[in-house]
Amino acid sequence: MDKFLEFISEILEVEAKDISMDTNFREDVEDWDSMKGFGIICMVEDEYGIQIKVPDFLNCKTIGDLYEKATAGAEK
Amino acid sequence: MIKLYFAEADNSKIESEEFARTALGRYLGSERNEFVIEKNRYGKPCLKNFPDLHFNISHTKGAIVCAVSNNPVGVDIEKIKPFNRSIAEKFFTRKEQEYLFSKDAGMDIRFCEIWTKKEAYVKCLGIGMTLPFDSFDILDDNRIVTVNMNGYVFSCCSD
Repeated sequence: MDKFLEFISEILEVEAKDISMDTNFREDVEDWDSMKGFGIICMVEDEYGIQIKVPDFLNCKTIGDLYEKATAGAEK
Repeated sequence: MIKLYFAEADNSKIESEEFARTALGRYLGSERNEFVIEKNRYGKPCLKNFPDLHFNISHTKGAIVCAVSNNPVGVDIEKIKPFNRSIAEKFFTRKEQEYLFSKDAGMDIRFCEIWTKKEAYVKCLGIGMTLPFDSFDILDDNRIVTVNMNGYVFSCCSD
């Protein structure tokens, strides 16, 4: 879980300590844009081998939602 | 007629709607600020009380751009910085990747050029991220203009 937050913090260009699973990544991140969204989709595929479809990504609100997608089917 | 308004801003996300209101007023040649902004189902902003006037906003760290037109319009801005290669490999077409990786010099700028053109195109259509980015080539689309200034690249698409 900590590693996931590290990956996300790099993409969002924030400190890992400043985000949590409850962070609403679109609303709470000052410089959120769609490129960061595509960066997250790529990271999840590259690091977790899971392809998140864009409509599913759009339904995610928090970093915890993304973590659920990234680790779907895996033992947590 | 399309007009593009660009500004550098400390907090571009918060300031972007106010900037759009100013740009719309300037486009109409007035200082009035009575625009009622609403969003379509995909989140594209539009004017409830000026249905024939179209605008679009984009912001990135440190800058905002607003396009105003009498036709549907989409705009996107990015700060030039080292890019995420994985995004290019997964979401750019083969032709776009060939252009991007054609030489080392200027690769970050070419990435921003392709990305902002694609974003401006889908924002003009008003359908957000629902159109797969690797399903369309953007480099030869003459409805899109791209500007490179002050460390930013921005593109505007209008029908």
